[in-house]
Amino acid sequence: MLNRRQFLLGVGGGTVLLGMGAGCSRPAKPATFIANPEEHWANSICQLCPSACGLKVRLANGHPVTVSGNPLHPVNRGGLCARGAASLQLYYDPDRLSGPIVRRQGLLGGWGPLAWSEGISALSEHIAKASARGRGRVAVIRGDNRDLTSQLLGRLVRASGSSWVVDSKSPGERAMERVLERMHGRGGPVVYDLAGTDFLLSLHSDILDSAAQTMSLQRAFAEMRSSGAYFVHAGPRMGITGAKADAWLPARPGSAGVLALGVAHMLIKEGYERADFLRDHCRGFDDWTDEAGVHHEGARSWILREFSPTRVAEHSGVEMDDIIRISRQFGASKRPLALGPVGAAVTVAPFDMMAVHVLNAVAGGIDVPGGVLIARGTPFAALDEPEKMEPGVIDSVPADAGVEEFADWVLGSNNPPIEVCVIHDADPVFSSENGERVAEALRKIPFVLSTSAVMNDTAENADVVLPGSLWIEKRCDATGMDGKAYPLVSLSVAAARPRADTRNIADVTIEVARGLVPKVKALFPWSGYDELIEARAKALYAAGVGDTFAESHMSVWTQLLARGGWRSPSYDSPRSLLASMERKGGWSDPAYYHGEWRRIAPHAGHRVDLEAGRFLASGVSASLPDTAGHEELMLNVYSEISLQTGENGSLPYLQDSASPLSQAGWTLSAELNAETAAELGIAHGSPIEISSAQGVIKAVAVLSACVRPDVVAVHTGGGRSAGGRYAAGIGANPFVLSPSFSHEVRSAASAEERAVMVSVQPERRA
Amino acid sequence: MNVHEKPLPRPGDPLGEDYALVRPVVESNPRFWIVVGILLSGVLLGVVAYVHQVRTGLGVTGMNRPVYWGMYIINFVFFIGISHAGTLISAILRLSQAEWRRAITRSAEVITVMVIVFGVANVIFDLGRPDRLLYIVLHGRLQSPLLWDVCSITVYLTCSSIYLYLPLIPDIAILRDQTTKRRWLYRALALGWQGTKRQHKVLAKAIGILMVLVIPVAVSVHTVVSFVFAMTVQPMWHAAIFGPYFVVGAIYSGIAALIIAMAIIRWAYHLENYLKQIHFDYLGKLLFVMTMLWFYFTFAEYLTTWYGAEPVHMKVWWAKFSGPYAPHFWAMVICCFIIPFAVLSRRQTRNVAGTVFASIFITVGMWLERFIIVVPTISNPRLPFDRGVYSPSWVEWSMLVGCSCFFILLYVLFTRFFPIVSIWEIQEGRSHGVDELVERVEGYLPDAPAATEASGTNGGLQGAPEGAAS
Amino acid sequence: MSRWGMVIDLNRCTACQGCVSACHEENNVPPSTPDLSAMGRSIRWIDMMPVQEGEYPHATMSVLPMMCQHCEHPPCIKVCPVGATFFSEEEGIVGQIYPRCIGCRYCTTACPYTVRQFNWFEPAVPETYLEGTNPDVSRRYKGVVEKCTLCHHRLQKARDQARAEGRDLLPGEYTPACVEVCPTDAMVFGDLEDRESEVSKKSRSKRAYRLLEDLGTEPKVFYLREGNRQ
Repeated sequence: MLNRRQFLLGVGGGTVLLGMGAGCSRPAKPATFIANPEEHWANSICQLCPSACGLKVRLANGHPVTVSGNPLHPVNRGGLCARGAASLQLYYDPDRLSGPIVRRQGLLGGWGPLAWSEGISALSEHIAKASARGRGRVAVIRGDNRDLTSQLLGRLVRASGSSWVVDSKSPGERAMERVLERMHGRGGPVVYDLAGTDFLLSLHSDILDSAAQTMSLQRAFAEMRSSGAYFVHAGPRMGITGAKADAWLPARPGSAGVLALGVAHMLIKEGYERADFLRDHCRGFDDWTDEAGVHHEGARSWILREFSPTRVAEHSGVEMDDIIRISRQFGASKRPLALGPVGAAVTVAPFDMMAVHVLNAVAGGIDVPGGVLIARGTPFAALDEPEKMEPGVIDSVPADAGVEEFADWVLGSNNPPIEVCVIHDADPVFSSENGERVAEALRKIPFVLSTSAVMNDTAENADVVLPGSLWIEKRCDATGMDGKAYPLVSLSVAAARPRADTRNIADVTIEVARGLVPKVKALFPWSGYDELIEARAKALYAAGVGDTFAESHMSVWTQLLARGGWRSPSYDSPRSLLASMERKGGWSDPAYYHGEWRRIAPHAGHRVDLEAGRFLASGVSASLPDTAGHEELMLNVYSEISLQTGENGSLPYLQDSASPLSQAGWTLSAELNAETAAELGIAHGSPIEISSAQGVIKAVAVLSACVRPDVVAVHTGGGRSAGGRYAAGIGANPFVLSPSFSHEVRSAASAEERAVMVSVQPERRA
Repeated sequence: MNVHEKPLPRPGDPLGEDYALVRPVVESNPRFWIVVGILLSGVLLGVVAYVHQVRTGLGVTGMNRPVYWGMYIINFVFFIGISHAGTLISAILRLSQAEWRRAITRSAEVITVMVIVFGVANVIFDLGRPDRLLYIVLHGRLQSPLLWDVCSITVYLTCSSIYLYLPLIPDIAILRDQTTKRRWLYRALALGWQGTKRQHKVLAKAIGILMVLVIPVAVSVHTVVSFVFAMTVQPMWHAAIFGPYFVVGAIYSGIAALIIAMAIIRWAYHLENYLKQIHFDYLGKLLFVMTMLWFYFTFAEYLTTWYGAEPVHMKVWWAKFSGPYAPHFWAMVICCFIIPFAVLSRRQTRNVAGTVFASIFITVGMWLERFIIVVPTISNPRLPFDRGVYSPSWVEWSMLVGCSCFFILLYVLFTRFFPIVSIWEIQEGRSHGVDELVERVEGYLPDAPAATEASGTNGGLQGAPEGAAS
Repeated sequence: MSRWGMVIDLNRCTACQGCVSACHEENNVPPSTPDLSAMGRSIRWIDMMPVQEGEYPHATMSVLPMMCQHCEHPPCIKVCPVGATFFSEEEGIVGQIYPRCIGCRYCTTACPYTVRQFNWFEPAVPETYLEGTNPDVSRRYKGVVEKCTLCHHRLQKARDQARAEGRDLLPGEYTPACVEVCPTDAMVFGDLEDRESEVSKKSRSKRAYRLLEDLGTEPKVFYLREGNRQ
């Protein structure tokens, strides 16, 4: 039978040629591309987020041209997210710093070039002078401590008699640290074994929209969905996470903790709680009387009393029927798991994280397959761990001090002044909730040095910028864990030649330290980064566990062998270990042993302390801001996955594909419920202004049926003041709207207290 | 045409009463240069816009994804539609031997030839790579409806040009013989016309063949233009009604353009004696018929879409009725139906002023109709995303202004070189028309054996509009 | 003869846009700008397309990775006046010849999936980016249409390699950049003709569907419906 195409061809062929001599020619095929560039591949480690995925860079005639994932790397197994795949745009960034620069002292200001040697000696001198004047006068702000460079910088600061080693962790991470500290008596990190669960309840956990550590979560998420697990997402905005869920519960901002305990209430009430787990591994669930005869209320009574479905429904805005239904499904599942807020920019309070952790404990989901795993550490200690060094701790520095606390300290009048601050792999002026305050603090510090490869918002407030080499330009390392909580160490050689006058900051740090007093110098016995790597390889070899990366089936085999007490690594000396790591991308110990309660809960009794968790619940009784009948909306800030951190703004591919749900890159899109927008007279795609008591930002309205009517949802990632043509002045930063909270509010209260009310209106034309 | 018995205008004969028809050709007029100046500045604007577009790229237009076609394609369809004013109407009137055609055919045919050039030009403006225009010939694929357009329009342009030229020959000969300006040009173009009987016979035969040929070609042109849209699977394009709908719309806008052109000629060259109220009345009636036809097709198109209520089609439908394109849609309904209907249905308003008033609205309305056909469909594709709203940029507006000015300029120039009302045909009508008509009317009547003598000079039959009713 | 096709498992896709970046990096797609983006003119060979249905609070949403569907009966090819876009009978790939394209945008208009892209301006690529040009893919210029080619250059390379070694192309040797980079293995690629291939099996799954199937274009990109509803 004739199909339409053949018919058309017939008609076309049969048409008589009138007038013009239009030939009915066959379409031509493109000529085969004949070019024979000299090609090779090199491994590297992506450092655009803490996942530290393995990269495979393809070079043509020495130029990196494309990048894909290292198939052997356990974190990404050949895959890459948008950031990793676009990472070469940072290497070729036309606005990268070409070399070290120093702030000019003249009237006109601006920046002038600087020689590396001068920059290094300036840093040495400033540190030497500051530490001679007293303790606690040198600081470093880092992204994290997952690579040796960051650890060296932390070591340098501690060796100089200061404990100001500040990591710019997300509120979620910091809250979880606090929860673990209280309930387990140890630090993180935790890994959620999504792949093993059969019912995932996300409580304001925008894992697919905002999670900082994307790769392992995304891969585990896919495994979970493929295994048929049911997934419920609760949160004020559906987002990609909710779109990928089987059900979305539109919950008010800041209600994660209340919802979690509401579900826990139903589990206890209907007998779904895992009594054996609570009995064997938890403390403080039931009421008890201590030796002095004082009666203590356990978590059970407290939850039953405070978190009835009626109350939780009222509090969270979720229908009571939905809470009951979801709780029953959660309870009836074999391996249920609840996720707390994980976003990097969400205002997360420790109470929320605690409540979710209590819910997981009630459901027996800690240290079990498909539950919350406490990551195993690498077999060697980090270089900057204080206990390994002479302590220089000042009592008044909060143990979990973040960038905000640092700014408070610097701007506080009675504190000893911080005289030197090094900023590495972080952009706190842009990414922290009170960036302007951080900038103010940095301006107060006499000597601020940034190691950023591009001019970012924080570097703009520095005195000297010593641009560090990008990961593909240098030999680099990363320590971390994968989605199964296995420890791993990635290592790679330089994949491409540097495009600017940059240096490896690890070498620079060692050089600076070796120019200081003998006490400090003694802590840096290596001539440079290469020697440090060799020392680490020796330590790794000596640990006698794990193996270099291999295909996943080989990793399973290694694990099985290890369980049986066997081991046959692919290397036989530190040198061959190093060579093998560089060839394959790194080393990992693919084994997790359940039931190591001494490791999981090091504090007395080796149990999860539910009673201690209650301590964090101080802010729960605070009532929610009443939005009914108000002109104002609640601000819901989520972090845009591809733009949230570091230099990502300078990557135009990322700017363009930001906020895929609104299809509006290069701008701040504000999601509004369509009905709310109609009441406010706002049309889809129209410019709007969002204002709070603190400030005003401009955004583009995106009307949606997938967001609560009392909420306006905006993302972070825009509003940089520096970063080159693709970053500066693009979009807006919603943190402008949030007030400056005190440390107490930040660290203890529930997120509700931190709700930001904003008014939204069409942009006024000048 | 019948073989004439009465003497035809010969070289050397004074033009006498028809001198008004050559006055624009022989006498210069300062007003003319003012008009040319204004039109040239409009053309210049278009040239500047196009140069800017070629240098910068099509991004200077308002087009985007998914609205890949905008003003240029609208103009293309619109201008090709206007071109139906001439040859088709002229051919139909000639074919039906409507005697009142004599004064208007030329002005209609000129519109065709001039405006079709701008229809084609707009397609070239729309090309991202105009430098590769010849690829359409070198690598043309007849499977593409665009190639059908190329073929059809080329044939139409050729036929129309010849069809304009042939009846022009006797008039050129008159200019050659009776005026002094540009005699070399007229001598060359007159092709040695002497007005012999044989030459008249050949001319009549050639015109006869062309007018039969040109009608299907004209219909095919606009059908094929509609096929550019209808052959895709896009909602509200993929419809069988599009062919006839476009043809009707083309004739509709063409007649409106003709009326406007005639009124301007009549006013500017004082040809009230040639382009009379009756011509406007008849054309007004024709326009009224087209108004009804246009409404019928529009109604049929939108009713079937609405009743069938397929979601992808309704998305476009609503975009037109109450969405972002509602102003365009309702303006089109007012311009193309409500105003013309009110004006043309009443005898009192079907005069020169009334028909011109209606025609201006129809011309604007038909441009809006092309907009309403092209844009809402592509801005609402089948898949529920990628929706864009289109509004033309200054470049596109300038190009419309430039094209319109250029067209009017060419038209004005034509009237300065050639008589815009056919002299010989008027003279022919004066000398033969009445007798012929009488003879013809007698031929219609039943043969009454007793009444053969009764026929004669019944002046009341003069000008009975045979063609007007068709 | 092969029929290269793709299956996208929406249960596994997390809309991370790794494929988008990888595709653009591989195919030298120029970086966009705020102006281009605001006008809807960013060139994206593959893109995330959100589809909302229903009313609050019962609304649902899917996010579809959208690229050229490589129809078996492509409406775009029929209408091209100069043969600048072609359908490869032996591969089943819809290709585009930039030096032939006259930029009339009939194909972009005829494509019911609106996945064809146009160069409205000369691409603004900084000098430094040009150094990282993938030598396998020609750069485009002002006024031509471009689109996903399923990384056709990779097929040519793989086939040349196989030919040089005197053997047939093996499964898995040819993979487009988007599929290669997909971190969750949501995208599966291969020869649909090979009934034993993973892509062929998945394309026959009960969850499989294609976009606008009723148009008879027979796309070779299949989607696997999402959801584990209880």
